[in-house]
Amino acid sequence: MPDNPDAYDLQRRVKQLSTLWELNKALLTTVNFERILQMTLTAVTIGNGLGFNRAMLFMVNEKEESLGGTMAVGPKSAEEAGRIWAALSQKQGSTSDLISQLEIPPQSNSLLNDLVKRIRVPLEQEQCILSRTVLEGKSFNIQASRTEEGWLQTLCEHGCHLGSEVGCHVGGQLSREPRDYSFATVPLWGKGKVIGVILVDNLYNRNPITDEDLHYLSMFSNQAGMAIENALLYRNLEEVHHELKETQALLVHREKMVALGELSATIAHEIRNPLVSIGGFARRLYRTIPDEAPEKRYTQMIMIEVARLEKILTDTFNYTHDEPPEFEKCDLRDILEESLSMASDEFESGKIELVKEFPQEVPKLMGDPRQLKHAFFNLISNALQAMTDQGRLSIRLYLFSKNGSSYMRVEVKDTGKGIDPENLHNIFNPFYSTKESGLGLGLPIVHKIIASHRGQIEVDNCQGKGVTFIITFPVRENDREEHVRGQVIV
Amino acid sequence: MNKILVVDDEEGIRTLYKEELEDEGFIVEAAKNGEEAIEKLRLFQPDLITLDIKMPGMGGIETLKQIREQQRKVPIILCSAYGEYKQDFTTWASDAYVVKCADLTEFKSTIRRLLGQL
Repeated sequence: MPDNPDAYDLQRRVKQLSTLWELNKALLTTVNFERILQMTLTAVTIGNGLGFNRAMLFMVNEKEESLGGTMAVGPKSAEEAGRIWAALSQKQGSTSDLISQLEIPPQSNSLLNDLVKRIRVPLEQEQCILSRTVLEGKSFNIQASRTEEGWLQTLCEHGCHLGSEVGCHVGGQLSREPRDYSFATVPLWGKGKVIGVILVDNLYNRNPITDEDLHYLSMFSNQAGMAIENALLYRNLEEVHHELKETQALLVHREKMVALGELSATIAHEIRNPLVSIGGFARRLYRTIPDEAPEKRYTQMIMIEVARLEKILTDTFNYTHDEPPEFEKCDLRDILEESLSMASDEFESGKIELVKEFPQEVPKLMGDPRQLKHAFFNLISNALQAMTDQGRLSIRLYLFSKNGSSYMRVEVKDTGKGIDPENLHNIFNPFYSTKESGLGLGLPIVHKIIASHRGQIEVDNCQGKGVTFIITFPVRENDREEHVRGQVIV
Repeated sequence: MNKILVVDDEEGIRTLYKEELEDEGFIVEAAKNGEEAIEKLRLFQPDLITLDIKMPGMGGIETLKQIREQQRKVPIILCSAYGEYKQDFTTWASDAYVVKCADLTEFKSTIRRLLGQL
């Protein structure tokens, strides 16, 4: 120590300023929000930096007028603290290098971090030290005190878990021994407003927090606040940019649909009429030709191809026109049976085994029978197409309750090859198809119909073993009552 | 035996509907546009009319209006290649709407339903 106290003071200040400069330099290396937060809290806790034992960061949520726990850094125990400090002292390089080279764990598994992230403090709770730091825009140093007077309480009775970690009142009792524990809060200043709070303590080495420590922390937090705000703005900008890109993609998609809709309406009329004649007369011929004549097969081929073309027209029309569903009470078992009968030709060869599991009683579902039949027919024909040689198609219908609400669920399961994981995220996108023929509108139409019935569709894909489409509809309470009474008013 | 008037500008469809419905046991008369349909209405006195929407000259909707002025109760099925008018068929005072399809099952069952045969 130099003999002259002024010189000592000067030397200490130079050291503090140079540390601050190092820390600020580190903060300039990124605009990534998570990383800036991590670096800020590390700078507050690292021995070469500000040297507090633990640091917790809370950000202001202006919309909700609350303060939310965002991140915390600190050892779990005194032993771990010792290990970390020893390891850090071994490391070479400047403080800014040490901090900027920090590896951020993908998901922090620290208990303290988890706990802090669960904390929400409404800003109106003025007795909470965190809210006060924001509202008054000043730091608080809760010094080790022999009495309770100097202490401020956090909002424990509203579910704040902070009391278990720092000193505050829990149920009228102080959560920590005030004589050997102290903590402090500083506001994080953005441009003209407080954007968050840093809370620090010295839980392990029990060092008192001096006013000078706090002053030093405030100087750093002013810089950190600006860096965090910039990162936040950058992140918001990125989010807005992302949203804009999504909206643009949606607009392009809609424009395509409108164009396709107009085209399909014009073409539909011009093509459908001749198709009806071709297909209709083919059917008449088919009925008159003896079974053994080869013409029977030829006409059958015409009928099949016409049906395929008609399906393309119907699918294009249905997908591009928002036809509102015509709701009526329907029995899902009947709908499924009719959808199966539409695909009955496939079962005649005997290669596909059909397993049906329907309950004896089911409540009626408010739905458009025509649209629902269309949706299930698409799922069934997809399943059949997935099983080229042989296989088993299982259709299961059952009821279940979750969180007090009732649901009806249909599972359509095949034993085909399953969907290539690479294609899985595209299966509900229109005009995406891995089949040799087809427009790629089958599943998008299913999705659209199920969504218009307030249902949900999920895919359980097991590559090499098959796919299960799981469709869940909410059951309205009055439907259920009618089912129980056995009286259905249509 | 019920009498059906088929109104469609496409010859293929007229012939197909006529022959299919005759096979089902109906007496069928065909008209190629609205004007012809109105002409045949009084003499033929159909029990049911199937009506195309898009036809040269007097279209299906105008024909429907004029038929209703003369015969309020005769069931009318609108048959069209367009699916988009489906939700409007009741506002046009028709009794059913069938999108044209080579498989005539729905077409025939709608006719039988409206004639009270189902």
